[in-house]
Amino acid sequence: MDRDDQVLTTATQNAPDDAALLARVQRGEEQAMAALFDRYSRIVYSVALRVMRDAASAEDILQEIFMQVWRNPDGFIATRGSLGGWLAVVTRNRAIDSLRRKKPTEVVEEMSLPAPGNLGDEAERNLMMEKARVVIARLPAEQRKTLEMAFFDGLTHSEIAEMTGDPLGTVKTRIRSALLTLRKGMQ
Amino acid sequence: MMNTANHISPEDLALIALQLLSEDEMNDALAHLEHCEACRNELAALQGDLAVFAMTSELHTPPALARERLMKRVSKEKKVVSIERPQQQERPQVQERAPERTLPLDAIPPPPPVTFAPEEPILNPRSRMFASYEAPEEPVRKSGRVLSIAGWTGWAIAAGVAVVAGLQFHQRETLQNSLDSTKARLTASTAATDKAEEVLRTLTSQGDMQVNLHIPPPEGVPPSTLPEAHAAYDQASGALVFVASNLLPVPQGKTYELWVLPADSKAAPIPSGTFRPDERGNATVIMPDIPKGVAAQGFGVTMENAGGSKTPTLPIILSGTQTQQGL
Repeated sequence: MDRDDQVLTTATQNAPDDAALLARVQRGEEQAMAALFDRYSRIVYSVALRVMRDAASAEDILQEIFMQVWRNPDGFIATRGSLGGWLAVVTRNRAIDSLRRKKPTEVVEEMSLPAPGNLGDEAERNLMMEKARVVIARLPAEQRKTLEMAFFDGLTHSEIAEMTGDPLGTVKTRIRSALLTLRKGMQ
Repeated sequence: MMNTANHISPEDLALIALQLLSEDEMNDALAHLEHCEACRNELAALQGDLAVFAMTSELHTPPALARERLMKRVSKEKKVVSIERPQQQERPQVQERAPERTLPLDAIPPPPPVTFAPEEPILNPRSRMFASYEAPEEPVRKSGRVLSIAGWTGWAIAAGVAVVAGLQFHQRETLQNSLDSTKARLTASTAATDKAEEVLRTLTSQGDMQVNLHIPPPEGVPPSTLPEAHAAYDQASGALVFVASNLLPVPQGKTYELWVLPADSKAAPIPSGTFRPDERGNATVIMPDIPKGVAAQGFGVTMENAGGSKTPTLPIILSGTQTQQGL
């Protein structure tokens, strides 16, 4: 192990985990909030930007999501898996609600998400992202496109069917199949 | 929506995870999910898949000021951390605690009745501190010895109660002092906030009288109608108050934008808020979101497209530095 690796490993080991940071947020420690922002702001902002396609709106979502964490850190608890994953999904849902001018509705906030890895660790997070991109790139084009339309554009299965001319059942099956392939590819 | 096994079909679970169902369909699904662990588990797995899919977005870094803005908001919304209650209240509280809100009420078994054995002490601290005195002892044959032990036990219990009472009194006094101190600070900060709000309202209200004072021009010379402005800036806190007058109206789709010009000549001007003058040409920018600790050389005003810009567009309409005092 060379010196850089040692430094990286030490830094990772010394970084407090998400649960510890959330506990400090619960006690009102602003520095812990800053640490969470440094760790996850790129993910949250990137997902928001992909959905909103506008930098100012994406930043609004970013601020809203992190203020939600500050006001209610109990909204996420350690047993709900990865904080990074939870933030990514909540961000997408909030952005879609904003596009559709709907009141925020979060089924995911009550759900237990399986952790796809230790997203608090930057190296592991980057590795996981790369792996997921490879799996998605290998999906059949129509599956990938359908999932993107549903997830990032917030189009309903009926709207997708109307736009693509595919039967409703086919659209639903493509979404499900794409997600299953992604799950298997990440195992 | 249900399949033949009376579960939500996997395809529809994916739509639920994506929140793409109508409100009615979602309500039906949630009613089923409440009682079906298999569907709940699959839905959670799908949410995990979506989290992974979300990560495939191309990574972008948020604007540099986003962190400052968040921390400013965080700082404004300070948390009130609750104080733990005294220990002797713990047991009744645990037994009377409300059930978790996610479970139906009828799923919670009724709490066991609170009964105290006749020999059980009423005060918890006493029972902990003097457990050895209350432990069952071997039968004592001599009645004199029994009386002696009973006497000492009585004195010990009385002393224990006195100690506990003293501790409770001290704790109560400490809490009372802390509460009084907090109340005093709250009263002082409320007064300060009221005053600050009044200052802010006076500075920004268009209905109030706003007058610029000048040396009267010589007779026959018309008063100056040139735009002018004054900026007050505190580097440490990043607080900035800007007041301008005699500004020309801005065309449709345009806006004035204020810039902090950093003392570091290599640093880019910092956008510090957009503004439009009122019908009398007056405008203010009060406490814009700008980073703390930036040493400023001066300030400038440009005209930008509505919504503002990240870099100033020439020409600079108003500018001033600490040495020029020309803004």
